[in-house]
Amino acid sequence: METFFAQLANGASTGALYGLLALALVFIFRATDVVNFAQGEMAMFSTYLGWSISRPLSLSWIPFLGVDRHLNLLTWRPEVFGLPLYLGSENDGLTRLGYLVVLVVTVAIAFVMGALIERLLIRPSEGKNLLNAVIVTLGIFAFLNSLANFRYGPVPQTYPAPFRGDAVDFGLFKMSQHSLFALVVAAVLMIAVYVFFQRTKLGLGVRAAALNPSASQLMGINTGRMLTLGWALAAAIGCVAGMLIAPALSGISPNLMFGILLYGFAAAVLGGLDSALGAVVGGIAVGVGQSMVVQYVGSQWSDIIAFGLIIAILMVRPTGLFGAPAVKKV
Amino acid sequence: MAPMLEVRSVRAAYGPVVALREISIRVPERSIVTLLGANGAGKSTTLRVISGLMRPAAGAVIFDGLPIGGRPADWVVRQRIAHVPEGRQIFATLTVEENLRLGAYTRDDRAGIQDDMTRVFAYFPRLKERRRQVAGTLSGGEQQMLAMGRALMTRPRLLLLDEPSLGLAPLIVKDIFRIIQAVNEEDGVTILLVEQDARVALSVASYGYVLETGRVAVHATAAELKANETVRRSYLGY
Repeated sequence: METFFAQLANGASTGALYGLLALALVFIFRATDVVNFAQGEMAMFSTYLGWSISRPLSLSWIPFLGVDRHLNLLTWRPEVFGLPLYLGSENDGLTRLGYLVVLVVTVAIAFVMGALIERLLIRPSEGKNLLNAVIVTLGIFAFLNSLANFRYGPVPQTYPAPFRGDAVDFGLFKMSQHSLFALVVAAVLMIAVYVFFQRTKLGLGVRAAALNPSASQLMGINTGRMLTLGWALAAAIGCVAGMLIAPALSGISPNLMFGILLYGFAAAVLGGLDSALGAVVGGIAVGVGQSMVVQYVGSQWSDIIAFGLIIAILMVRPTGLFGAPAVKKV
Repeated sequence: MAPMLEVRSVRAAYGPVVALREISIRVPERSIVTLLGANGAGKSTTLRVISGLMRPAAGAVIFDGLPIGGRPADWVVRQRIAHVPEGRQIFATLTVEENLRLGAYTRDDRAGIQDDMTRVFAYFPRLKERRRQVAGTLSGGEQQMLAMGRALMTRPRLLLLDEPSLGLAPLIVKDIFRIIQAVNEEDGVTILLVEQDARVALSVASYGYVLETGRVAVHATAAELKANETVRRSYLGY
Protein backbone atom coordinates (compact mmCIF):
# COMPACT_ATOMS: atom_id res chain seq x y z
CA MET A 1 0.00 0.00 0.00
CA GLU A 2 2.88 2.29 0.84
CA THR A 3 4.29 1.76 -2.66
CA PHE A 4 0.94 2.69 -4.13
CA PHE A 5 0.82 6.03 -2.32
CA ALA A 6 4.46 6.74 -3.05
CA GLN A 7 3.82 6.11 -6.75
CA LEU A 8 0.75 8.32 -6.56
CA ALA A 9 2.72 11.19 -5.00
CA ASN A 10 5.67 10.90 -7.37
CA GLY A 11 3.35 10.53 -10.33
CA ALA A 12 1.50 13.67 -9.29
CA SER A 13 4.76 15.58 -9.01
CA THR A 14 6.05 14.48 -12.43
CA GLY A 15 2.57 14.98 -13.79
CA ALA A 16 2.51 18.55 -12.52
CA LEU A 17 5.62 19.19 -14.61
CA TYR A 18 3.98 17.61 -17.68
CA GLY A 19 1.06 19.88 -16.83
CA LEU A 20 3.33 22.94 -16.88
CA LEU A 21 4.63 22.04 -20.31
CA ALA A 22 1.08 21.34 -21.47
CA LEU A 23 0.09 24.73 -20.05
CA ALA A 24 2.78 26.40 -22.17
CA LEU A 25 1.45 24.56 -25.25
CA VAL A 26 -2.10 25.65 -24.40
CA PHE A 27 -0.95 29.23 -23.88
CA ILE A 28 0.45 29.44 -27.40
CA PHE A 29 -2.41 27.49 -28.92
CA ARG A 30 -4.95 29.84 -27.37
CA ALA A 31 -3.03 32.94 -28.36
CA THR A 32 -2.08 31.94 -31.92
CA ASP A 33 -3.83 28.68 -32.88
CA VAL A 34 -0.37 27.18 -33.44
CA VAL A 35 0.77 23.91 -31.87
CA ASN A 36 4.32 24.74 -30.85
CA PHE A 37 6.46 21.67 -31.45
CA ALA A 38 9.54 23.63 -30.35
CA GLN A 39 8.15 24.10 -26.82
CA GLY A 40 10.26 21.32 -25.35
CA GLU A 41 13.48 22.41 -27.03
CA MET A 42 12.88 26.05 -26.05
CA ALA A 43 12.54 24.83 -22.45
CA MET A 44 15.64 22.64 -22.78
CA PHE A 45 17.73 25.45 -24.22
CA SER A 46 16.71 28.01 -21.61
CA THR A 47 17.38 25.38 -18.92
CA TYR A 48 20.92 25.13 -20.32
CA LEU A 49 21.25 28.90 -20.15
CA GLY A 50 20.33 28.61 -16.47
CA TRP A 51 23.05 25.98 -16.10
CA SER A 52 25.54 28.35 -17.77
CA ILE A 53 24.84 31.25 -15.46
CA SER A 54 24.90 29.01 -12.39
CA ARG A 55 28.56 28.18 -13.17
CA PRO A 56 31.21 30.48 -11.76
CA LEU A 57 31.15 33.46 -14.10
CA SER A 58 34.45 35.03 -14.96
CA LEU A 59 34.32 38.75 -14.40
CA SER A 60 37.85 39.38 -15.65
CA TRP A 61 36.48 41.33 -18.60
CA ILE A 62 35.33 44.06 -16.21
CA PRO A 63 38.61 45.99 -15.78
CA PHE A 64 38.31 47.41 -12.27
CA LEU A 65 37.41 44.07 -10.67
CA GLY A 66 40.85 42.68 -11.37
CA VAL A 67 41.80 39.57 -13.27
CA ASP A 68 40.83 36.81 -10.89
CA ARG A 69 37.33 37.72 -9.76
CA HIS A 70 34.63 35.13 -10.30
CA LEU A 71 30.97 35.42 -9.55
CA ASN A 72 29.16 32.28 -8.53
CA LEU A 73 25.49 33.06 -8.29
CA LEU A 74 24.56 29.69 -6.80
CA THR A 75 26.77 30.07 -3.75
CA TRP A 76 26.12 33.75 -3.33
CA ARG A 77 26.08 34.60 0.41
CA PRO A 78 25.42 38.28 0.91
CA GLU A 79 25.63 39.42 4.51
CA VAL A 80 24.71 42.67 6.20
CA PHE A 81 26.61 43.37 9.45
CA GLY A 82 27.41 39.67 9.67
CA LEU A 83 23.77 38.60 9.34
CA PRO A 84 23.14 36.25 6.43
CA LEU A 85 20.68 37.52 3.80
CA TYR A 86 20.38 34.05 2.29
CA LEU A 87 18.25 31.11 3.28
CA GLY A 88 19.73 27.73 4.11
CA SER A 89 22.36 25.99 2.08
CA GLU A 90 23.19 22.49 1.00
CA ASN A 91 26.58 20.89 1.56
CA ASP A 92 27.65 21.67 -2.01
CA GLY A 93 27.61 25.34 -1.04
CA LEU A 94 24.46 26.23 -2.97
CA THR A 95 22.26 28.80 -1.26
CA ARG A 96 18.50 29.14 -1.75
CA LEU A 97 18.95 32.83 -2.51
CA GLY A 98 21.55 32.00 -5.15
CA TYR A 99 19.17 29.47 -6.70
CA LEU A 100 16.33 31.99 -6.69
CA VAL A 101 18.50 34.57 -8.48
CA VAL A 102 19.50 32.00 -11.11
CA LEU A 103 15.86 30.96 -11.53
CA VAL A 104 14.58 34.51 -11.94
CA VAL A 105 17.34 35.55 -14.35
CA THR A 106 16.91 32.39 -16.45
CA VAL A 107 13.14 32.76 -16.63
CA ALA A 108 13.58 36.41 -17.68
CA ILE A 109 15.96 35.33 -20.46
CA ALA A 110 13.47 32.66 -21.56
CA PHE A 111 10.70 35.29 -21.64
CA VAL A 112 12.76 37.50 -23.97
CA MET A 113 13.75 34.47 -26.07
CA GLY A 114 10.05 33.54 -26.51
CA ALA A 115 9.17 37.09 -27.53
CA LEU A 116 12.04 37.23 -30.04
CA ILE A 117 11.10 33.87 -31.56
CA GLU A 118 7.55 35.08 -32.10
CA ARG A 119 8.61 38.44 -33.53
CA LEU A 120 11.38 37.22 -35.81
CA LEU A 121 10.36 33.71 -36.83
CA ILE A 122 6.65 33.18 -36.29
CA ARG A 123 5.31 36.63 -37.24
CA PRO A 124 6.35 36.41 -40.93
CA SER A 125 4.18 33.31 -41.38
CA GLU A 126 1.20 34.86 -39.62
CA GLY A 127 -1.98 35.32 -41.62
CA LYS A 128 -0.89 32.66 -44.09
CA ASN A 129 -1.49 28.93 -43.89
CA LEU A 130 -1.32 27.82 -40.25
CA LEU A 131 0.79 24.90 -41.39
CA ASN A 132 3.61 27.35 -42.24
CA ALA A 133 3.90 28.41 -38.62
CA VAL A 134 3.79 24.81 -37.43
CA ILE A 135 6.62 23.90 -39.79
CA VAL A 136 8.60 26.91 -38.54
CA THR A 137 8.23 25.52 -34.99
CA LEU A 138 9.62 22.19 -36.23
CA GLY A 139 12.58 24.10 -37.65
CA ILE A 140 13.17 25.82 -34.31
CA PHE A 141 12.99 22.41 -32.64
CA ALA A 142 15.79 21.03 -34.85
CA PHE A 143 17.87 24.20 -34.62
CA LEU A 144 17.82 24.48 -30.82
CA ASN A 145 18.53 20.78 -30.41
CA SER A 146 21.57 20.96 -32.69
CA LEU A 147 22.77 24.18 -31.10
CA ALA A 148 22.62 22.61 -27.62
CA ASN A 149 24.53 19.55 -28.84
CA PHE A 150 27.12 21.79 -30.45
CA ARG A 151 27.52 24.17 -27.53
CA TYR A 152 27.10 21.85 -24.52
CA GLY A 153 27.74 18.38 -25.90
CA PRO A 154 25.57 15.27 -25.51
CA VAL A 155 26.79 14.27 -22.02
CA PRO A 156 24.28 14.98 -19.21
CA GLN A 157 25.44 17.58 -16.65
CA THR A 158 24.24 17.64 -13.05
CA TYR A 159 21.71 20.38 -12.48
CA PRO A 160 21.33 22.47 -9.33
CA ALA A 161 18.29 21.82 -7.12
CA PRO A 162 17.48 23.94 -4.08
CA PHE A 163 16.06 21.16 -1.89
CA ARG A 164 18.01 17.93 -1.75
CA GLY A 165 17.76 16.81 1.87
CA ASP A 166 16.07 13.69 3.23
CA ALA A 167 12.70 12.64 1.88
CA VAL A 168 9.71 14.05 3.72
CA ASP A 169 7.67 11.41 5.58
CA PHE A 170 3.91 11.84 5.26
CA GLY A 171 3.11 8.67 7.19
CA LEU A 172 1.45 6.86 4.32
CA PHE A 173 4.35 7.54 2.00
CA LYS A 174 7.62 9.40 1.62
CA MET A 175 8.30 12.03 -0.99
CA SER A 176 11.61 13.56 -1.98
CA GLN A 177 12.06 17.23 -1.15
CA HIS A 178 12.60 18.05 -4.78
CA SER A 179 9.36 16.34 -5.89
CA LEU A 180 7.49 18.27 -3.24
CA PHE A 181 9.15 21.53 -4.31
CA ALA A 182 8.30 20.85 -7.98
CA LEU A 183 4.70 20.14 -7.05
CA VAL A 184 4.36 23.37 -5.08
CA VAL A 185 6.00 25.53 -7.78
CA ALA A 186 3.82 23.95 -10.46
CA ALA A 187 0.68 24.54 -8.40
CA VAL A 188 1.57 28.19 -7.77
CA LEU A 189 2.29 28.79 -11.47
CA MET A 190 -0.95 27.15 -12.52
CA ILE A 191 -2.94 29.34 -10.16
CA ALA A 192 -1.04 32.40 -11.42
CA VAL A 193 -1.88 31.52 -15.03
CA TYR A 194 -5.51 30.99 -14.13
CA VAL A 195 -5.70 34.36 -12.36
CA PHE A 196 -3.92 36.02 -15.30
CA PHE A 197 -6.42 34.71 -17.85
CA GLN A 198 -9.58 35.00 -15.78
CA ARG A 199 -9.06 38.04 -13.58
CA THR A 200 -6.79 40.52 -15.34
CA LYS A 201 -7.55 42.89 -18.18
CA LEU A 202 -4.38 41.88 -20.03
CA GLY A 203 -5.36 38.19 -19.77
CA LEU A 204 -8.81 39.01 -21.13
CA GLY A 205 -7.08 40.86 -23.98
CA VAL A 206 -4.94 37.81 -24.82
CA ARG A 207 -8.03 35.57 -24.86
CA ALA A 208 -9.96 38.03 -27.04
CA ALA A 209 -7.08 38.45 -29.49
CA ALA A 210 -6.94 34.67 -29.97
CA LEU A 211 -10.72 34.36 -30.40
CA ASN A 212 -11.25 37.15 -32.92
CA PRO A 213 -8.30 39.31 -33.95
CA SER A 214 -10.17 41.92 -35.99
CA ALA A 215 -12.89 42.45 -33.38
CA SER A 216 -10.13 42.73 -30.76
CA GLN A 217 -8.45 45.48 -32.76
CA LEU A 218 -11.77 47.31 -32.82
CA MET A 219 -11.69 47.15 -28.99
CA GLY A 220 -8.28 48.85 -29.03
CA ILE A 221 -6.25 45.70 -28.40
CA ASN A 222 -2.86 45.58 -30.10
CA THR A 223 -3.21 41.96 -31.22
CA GLY A 224 0.41 41.64 -32.37
CA ARG A 225 1.63 42.52 -28.88
CA MET A 226 -0.72 39.90 -27.38
CA LEU A 227 0.78 37.19 -29.58
CA THR A 228 4.29 38.18 -28.55
CA LEU A 229 3.24 38.17 -24.91
CA GLY A 230 1.66 34.72 -25.31
CA TRP A 231 4.90 33.25 -26.71
CA ALA A 232 7.02 35.01 -24.09
CA LEU A 233 4.91 33.72 -21.19
CA ALA A 234 4.81 30.21 -22.63
CA ALA A 235 8.60 30.19 -22.96
CA ALA A 236 8.92 31.36 -19.34
CA ILE A 237 6.59 28.60 -18.09
CA GLY A 238 8.43 25.99 -20.14
CA CYS A 239 11.73 27.21 -18.68
CA VAL A 240 10.49 26.71 -15.11
CA ALA A 241 9.36 23.21 -16.05
CA GLY A 242 12.78 22.45 -17.54
CA MET A 243 14.64 23.71 -14.50
CA LEU A 244 12.55 21.47 -12.25
CA ILE A 245 12.70 18.43 -14.52
CA ALA A 246 16.49 18.41 -15.07
CA PRO A 247 17.49 17.66 -11.44
CA ALA A 248 14.68 15.08 -11.15
CA LEU A 249 16.17 13.16 -14.09
CA SER A 250 19.84 12.39 -14.54
CA GLY A 251 20.68 16.07 -15.12
CA ILE A 252 20.49 18.17 -18.25
CA SER A 253 21.24 16.95 -21.75
CA PRO A 254 20.14 18.16 -25.20
CA ASN A 255 17.51 15.42 -25.29
CA LEU A 256 16.12 16.36 -21.88
CA MET A 257 12.68 17.28 -23.13
CA PHE A 258 12.18 14.67 -25.85
CA GLY A 259 10.11 12.27 -23.82
CA ILE A 260 8.72 14.99 -21.59
CA LEU A 261 7.32 16.95 -24.53
CA LEU A 262 5.48 13.87 -25.75
CA TYR A 263 3.91 13.43 -22.33
CA GLY A 264 3.18 17.18 -22.29
CA PHE A 265 1.36 16.72 -25.59
CA ALA A 266 -0.50 13.76 -24.17
CA ALA A 267 -1.54 15.93 -21.22
CA ALA A 268 -2.64 18.81 -23.45
CA VAL A 269 -4.61 16.54 -25.77
CA LEU A 270 -6.21 14.72 -22.85
CA GLY A 271 -7.32 17.99 -21.23
CA GLY A 272 -8.17 19.79 -24.45
CA LEU A 273 -5.65 21.95 -26.29
CA ASP A 274 -7.51 25.16 -25.54
CA SER A 275 -8.14 24.60 -21.83
CA ALA A 276 -5.69 25.73 -19.14
CA LEU A 277 -7.50 23.70 -16.50
CA GLY A 278 -7.47 20.72 -18.85
CA ALA A 279 -3.68 20.98 -19.22
CA VAL A 280 -3.21 20.77 -15.47
CA VAL A 281 -5.64 17.90 -14.93
CA GLY A 282 -4.33 16.14 -18.03
CA GLY A 283 -0.75 16.51 -16.85
CA ILE A 284 -1.41 15.04 -13.43
CA ALA A 285 -3.51 12.23 -14.92
CA VAL A 286 -0.72 11.34 -17.37
CA GLY A 287 1.94 11.51 -14.63
CA VAL A 288 0.03 9.33 -12.19
CA GLY A 289 -0.97 6.93 -14.96
CA GLN A 290 2.62 6.62 -16.08
CA SER A 291 3.99 5.84 -12.62
CA MET A 292 1.22 3.29 -12.00
CA VAL A 293 1.94 1.55 -15.29
CA VAL A 294 5.67 1.51 -14.50
CA GLN A 295 5.01 0.05 -11.06
CA TYR A 296 2.34 -2.52 -11.80
CA VAL A 297 2.58 -3.37 -15.50
CA GLY A 298 6.16 -2.73 -16.51
CA SER A 299 8.11 0.29 -17.67
CA GLN A 300 8.20 -0.89 -21.27
CA TRP A 301 4.43 -0.43 -21.41
CA SER A 302 4.35 3.18 -20.27
CA ASP A 303 4.81 4.84 -23.70
CA ILE A 304 2.53 2.37 -25.44
CA ILE A 305 -0.28 2.97 -22.98
CA ALA A 306 0.21 6.76 -22.91
CA PHE A 307 0.11 7.16 -26.66
CA GLY A 308 -2.55 4.57 -27.16
CA LEU A 309 -4.59 6.73 -24.82
CA ILE A 310 -3.99 9.88 -26.91
CA ILE A 311 -5.15 8.14 -30.05
CA ALA A 312 -8.20 6.75 -28.27
CA ILE A 313 -9.14 10.18 -26.89
CA LEU A 314 -8.67 11.87 -30.25
CA MET A 315 -11.07 9.34 -31.76
CA VAL A 316 -13.75 9.56 -29.08
CA ARG A 317 -13.49 13.19 -28.02
CA PRO A 318 -11.34 15.22 -30.40
CA THR A 319 -11.50 18.37 -28.26
CA GLY A 320 -10.27 16.65 -25.09
CA LEU A 321 -11.96 16.39 -21.72
CA PHE A 322 -12.20 20.16 -21.08
CA GLY A 323 -11.87 21.57 -24.59
CA ALA A 324 -14.49 23.79 -26.20
CA PRO A 325 -16.70 21.69 -28.48
CA ALA A 326 -16.35 24.20 -31.33
CA VAL A 327 -14.63 22.95 -34.46
CA LYS A 328 -11.17 24.44 -34.94
CA LYS A 329 -9.04 24.57 -38.05
CA VAL A 330 -5.53 23.29 -37.55
CA MET B 1 -18.40 74.42 -40.66
CA ALA B 2 -16.21 71.39 -41.26
CA PRO B 3 -17.99 68.08 -40.68
CA MET B 4 -16.91 65.77 -37.84
CA LEU B 5 -15.95 63.04 -40.31
CA GLU B 6 -14.93 63.53 -43.88
CA VAL B 7 -14.11 60.73 -46.30
CA ARG B 8 -12.37 62.32 -49.26
CA SER B 9 -12.05 60.47 -52.60
CA VAL B 10 -11.21 57.17 -50.95
CA ARG B 11 -10.31 54.14 -53.01
CA ALA B 12 -9.77 50.64 -51.65
CA ALA B 13 -9.35 47.10 -52.97
CA TYR B 14 -9.24 43.54 -51.67
CA GLY B 15 -6.22 42.32 -53.61
CA PRO B 16 -7.16 42.61 -57.27
CA VAL B 17 -10.84 43.24 -56.50
CA VAL B 18 -11.64 46.96 -56.37
CA ALA B 19 -14.24 47.62 -53.68
CA LEU B 20 -14.27 51.42 -53.54
CA ARG B 21 -13.71 53.37 -56.76
CA GLU B 22 -14.17 56.78 -55.30
CA ILE B 23 -16.13 57.53 -52.17
CA SER B 24 -16.60 60.95 -50.60
CA ILE B 25 -18.94 61.44 -47.67
CA ARG B 26 -19.40 64.01 -44.91
CA VAL B 27 -20.87 63.33 -41.50
CA PRO B 28 -21.75 66.42 -39.41
CA GLU B 29 -21.41 66.25 -35.63
CA ARG B 30 -24.44 64.84 -33.74
CA SER B 31 -26.18 63.72 -36.93
CA ILE B 32 -27.27 60.30 -38.15
CA VAL B 33 -26.10 59.68 -41.72
CA THR B 34 -26.89 56.49 -43.59
CA LEU B 35 -25.11 54.60 -46.37
CA LEU B 36 -27.54 52.67 -48.57
CA GLY B 37 -27.15 50.43 -51.57
CA ALA B 38 -27.13 46.86 -52.80
CA ASN B 39 -24.83 44.05 -51.71
CA GLY B 40 -21.27 44.69 -52.84
CA ALA B 41 -21.79 48.42 -53.32
CA GLY B 42 -18.98 49.17 -50.85
CA LYS B 43 -20.92 50.13 -47.72
CA SER B 44 -19.11 47.81 -45.29
CA THR B 45 -15.77 48.50 -46.91
CA THR B 46 -16.27 52.22 -46.33
CA LEU B 47 -16.79 51.56 -42.61
CA ARG B 48 -13.75 49.26 -42.52
CA VAL B 49 -11.58 51.99 -44.03
CA ILE B 50 -12.82 54.53 -41.47
CA SER B 51 -12.23 52.25 -38.46
CA GLY B 52 -8.79 51.17 -39.69
CA LEU B 53 -9.56 47.50 -40.38
CA MET B 54 -8.61 48.25 -43.99
CA ARG B 55 -6.06 50.60 -45.53
CA PRO B 56 -7.31 52.92 -48.26
CA ALA B 57 -5.35 52.76 -51.53
CA ALA B 58 -5.89 56.47 -52.09
CA GLY B 59 -7.79 59.41 -50.60
CA ALA B 60 -8.08 60.72 -47.06
CA VAL B 61 -10.20 60.15 -43.96
CA ILE B 62 -10.36 63.17 -41.67
CA PHE B 63 -11.86 62.97 -38.18
CA ASP B 64 -12.12 66.23 -36.28
CA GLY B 65 -9.33 67.73 -38.39
CA LEU B 66 -7.09 64.72 -37.79
CA PRO B 67 -6.08 62.46 -40.72
CA ILE B 68 -6.90 58.89 -39.64
CA GLY B 69 -6.87 57.01 -42.97
CA GLY B 70 -4.46 54.07 -42.91
CA ARG B 71 -3.89 54.14 -39.14
CA PRO B 72 -4.38 50.78 -37.33
CA ALA B 73 -7.78 49.97 -35.83
CA ASP B 74 -6.51 49.81 -32.24
CA TRP B 75 -5.31 53.40 -32.64
CA VAL B 76 -8.48 54.66 -34.32
CA VAL B 77 -10.72 53.41 -31.48
CA ARG B 78 -8.68 55.58 -29.10
CA GLN B 79 -9.80 58.61 -31.11
CA ARG B 80 -13.28 57.54 -29.94
CA ILE B 81 -14.60 56.00 -33.13
CA ALA B 82 -16.43 52.72 -32.45
CA HIS B 83 -17.31 50.18 -35.14
CA VAL B 84 -20.03 47.55 -34.80
CA PRO B 85 -18.87 45.31 -37.63
CA GLU B 86 -20.74 43.21 -40.16
CA GLY B 87 -21.95 40.00 -38.52
CA ARG B 88 -21.56 41.52 -35.03
CA GLN B 89 -18.28 39.70 -34.28
CA ILE B 90 -18.96 39.23 -30.59
CA PHE B 91 -16.58 37.04 -28.58
CA ALA B 92 -18.76 33.93 -28.59
CA THR B 93 -17.02 31.91 -25.86
CA LEU B 94 -16.69 34.84 -23.44
CA THR B 95 -19.48 35.99 -21.15
CA VAL B 96 -21.67 39.00 -21.83
CA GLU B 97 -19.89 40.93 -19.11
CA GLU B 98 -16.43 40.04 -20.46
CA ASN B 99 -17.51 41.25 -23.90
CA LEU B 100 -18.57 44.57 -22.40
CA ARG B 101 -15.37 44.86 -20.37
CA LEU B 102 -13.41 44.38 -23.59
CA GLY B 103 -15.29 47.38 -24.97
CA ALA B 104 -13.71 49.42 -22.18
CA TYR B 105 -10.23 48.01 -22.89
CA THR B 106 -8.75 51.39 -23.83
CA ARG B 107 -10.05 53.08 -20.66
CA ASP B 108 -8.75 53.22 -17.11
CA ASP B 109 -11.43 55.32 -15.38
CA ARG B 110 -13.10 52.71 -13.18
CA ALA B 111 -15.99 54.95 -12.15
CA GLY B 112 -16.70 56.00 -15.73
CA ILE B 113 -16.62 52.40 -16.93
CA GLN B 114 -19.07 51.42 -14.19
CA ASP B 115 -21.37 54.32 -15.19
CA ASP B 116 -21.29 53.26 -18.83
CA MET B 117 -21.97 49.63 -17.89
CA THR B 118 -25.06 50.81 -15.99
CA ARG B 119 -26.11 52.92 -18.97
CA VAL B 120 -25.69 50.02 -21.41
CA PHE B 121 -27.76 47.79 -19.11
CA ALA B 122 -30.43 50.51 -19.01
CA TYR B 123 -30.60 50.50 -22.83
CA PHE B 124 -30.50 46.71 -23.02
CA PRO B 125 -32.03 45.15 -19.87
CA ARG B 126 -31.77 41.69 -21.48
CA LEU B 127 -27.98 41.94 -21.33
CA LYS B 128 -28.13 42.60 -17.60
CA GLU B 129 -30.19 39.46 -17.04
CA ARG B 130 -27.67 37.46 -19.04
CA ARG B 131 -24.45 39.11 -17.94
CA ARG B 132 -22.87 35.85 -16.75
CA GLN B 133 -24.00 33.88 -19.78
CA VAL B 134 -21.66 32.91 -22.61
CA ALA B 135 -22.30 35.30 -25.51
CA GLY B 136 -22.58 32.56 -28.14
CA THR B 137 -25.78 31.32 -26.50
CA LEU B 138 -27.61 34.64 -27.00
CA SER B 139 -30.32 35.08 -29.65
CA GLY B 140 -29.51 37.09 -32.80
CA GLY B 141 -31.20 40.21 -31.42
CA GLU B 142 -29.38 39.93 -28.12
CA GLN B 143 -26.07 39.49 -29.92
CA GLN B 144 -26.76 42.70 -31.87
CA MET B 145 -27.51 44.44 -28.57
CA LEU B 146 -24.27 43.11 -27.12
CA ALA B 147 -22.26 44.28 -30.13
CA MET B 148 -23.76 47.75 -29.75
CA GLY B 149 -23.31 47.76 -25.99
CA ARG B 150 -19.69 46.72 -26.39
CA ALA B 151 -19.12 49.59 -28.85
CA LEU B 152 -20.80 52.06 -26.47
CA MET B 153 -18.39 50.94 -23.73
CA THR B 154 -15.58 52.61 -25.70
CA ARG B 155 -17.53 55.85 -25.02
CA PRO B 156 -17.50 56.80 -28.71
CA ARG B 157 -18.06 60.20 -30.28
CA LEU B 158 -18.70 58.53 -33.63
CA LEU B 159 -20.46 55.17 -33.91
CA LEU B 160 -20.23 53.13 -37.13
CA LEU B 161 -23.08 50.61 -37.38
CA ASP B 162 -23.04 47.87 -40.03
CA GLU B 163 -26.48 46.43 -40.78
CA PRO B 164 -27.95 46.35 -37.29
CA SER B 165 -31.23 44.97 -38.66
CA LEU B 166 -29.72 41.96 -40.44
CA GLY B 167 -31.59 38.76 -39.73
CA LEU B 168 -33.74 40.19 -36.96
CA ALA B 169 -37.50 40.06 -36.46
CA PRO B 170 -39.32 43.37 -37.26
CA LEU B 171 -40.22 43.99 -33.62
CA ILE B 172 -36.61 43.69 -32.52
CA VAL B 173 -35.46 45.92 -35.39
CA LYS B 174 -37.89 48.56 -34.15
CA ASP B 175 -36.44 48.23 -30.65
CA ILE B 176 -32.88 48.57 -31.85
CA PHE B 177 -33.58 51.62 -33.98
CA ARG B 178 -35.33 53.28 -31.05
CA ILE B 179 -32.11 52.82 -29.09
CA ILE B 180 -29.96 54.09 -31.97
CA GLN B 181 -32.04 57.24 -31.92
CA ALA B 182 -31.75 57.57 -28.14
CA VAL B 183 -27.95 57.14 -28.25
CA ASN B 184 -27.82 59.91 -30.84
CA GLU B 185 -30.18 62.34 -29.12
CA GLU B 186 -29.45 61.76 -25.43
CA ASP B 187 -25.74 60.94 -25.50
CA GLY B 188 -24.90 63.15 -28.48
CA VAL B 189 -23.16 60.34 -30.36
CA THR B 190 -22.75 60.89 -34.10
CA ILE B 191 -23.82 57.86 -36.11
CA LEU B 192 -22.88 56.54 -39.53
CA LEU B 193 -25.34 53.76 -40.34
CA VAL B 194 -25.01 51.14 -43.06
CA GLU B 195 -28.32 49.47 -43.92
CA GLN B 196 -29.92 47.29 -46.54
CA ASP B 197 -33.37 48.18 -45.25
CA ALA B 198 -33.56 51.71 -46.66
CA ARG B 199 -37.01 52.41 -45.24
CA VAL B 200 -36.03 51.88 -41.61
CA ALA B 201 -32.67 53.65 -42.07
CA LEU B 202 -34.26 56.75 -43.58
CA SER B 203 -36.73 56.88 -40.68
CA VAL B 204 -33.91 57.81 -38.29
CA ALA B 205 -31.26 59.38 -40.55
CA SER B 206 -31.16 63.02 -41.56
CA TYR B 207 -28.95 62.50 -44.62
CA GLY B 208 -28.28 59.57 -46.91
CA TYR B 209 -25.75 58.40 -49.48
CA VAL B 210 -26.66 55.73 -52.00
CA LEU B 211 -23.66 53.67 -53.09
CA GLU B 212 -23.41 51.75 -56.33
CA THR B 213 -20.37 49.59 -57.29
CA GLY B 214 -17.94 51.57 -55.19
CA ARG B 215 -19.19 55.07 -56.02
CA VAL B 216 -21.69 57.49 -54.54
CA ALA B 217 -24.63 57.39 -56.95
CA VAL B 218 -26.94 59.84 -55.18
CA HIS B 219 -26.80 61.81 -51.96
CA ALA B 220 -29.46 64.03 -50.43
CA THR B 221 -31.36 64.65 -47.21
CA ALA B 222 -33.44 61.75 -45.98
CA ALA B 223 -36.65 63.62 -46.81
CA GLU B 224 -35.52 64.22 -50.40
CA LEU B 225 -34.47 60.60 -50.88
CA LYS B 226 -37.81 59.37 -49.57
CA ALA B 227 -39.73 61.83 -51.79
CA ASN B 228 -37.87 61.03 -55.01
CA GLU B 229 -39.68 58.15 -56.64
CA THR B 230 -36.94 57.39 -59.21
CA VAL B 231 -34.31 57.04 -56.49
CA ARG B 232 -36.65 54.92 -54.40
CA ARG B 233 -37.46 52.56 -57.25
CA SER B 234 -34.04 52.19 -58.84
CA TYR B 235 -31.83 52.18 -55.77
CA LEU B 236 -33.81 51.60 -52.62
CA GLY B 237 -36.21 48.98 -53.89
CA TYR B 238 -39.46 49.99 -52.24
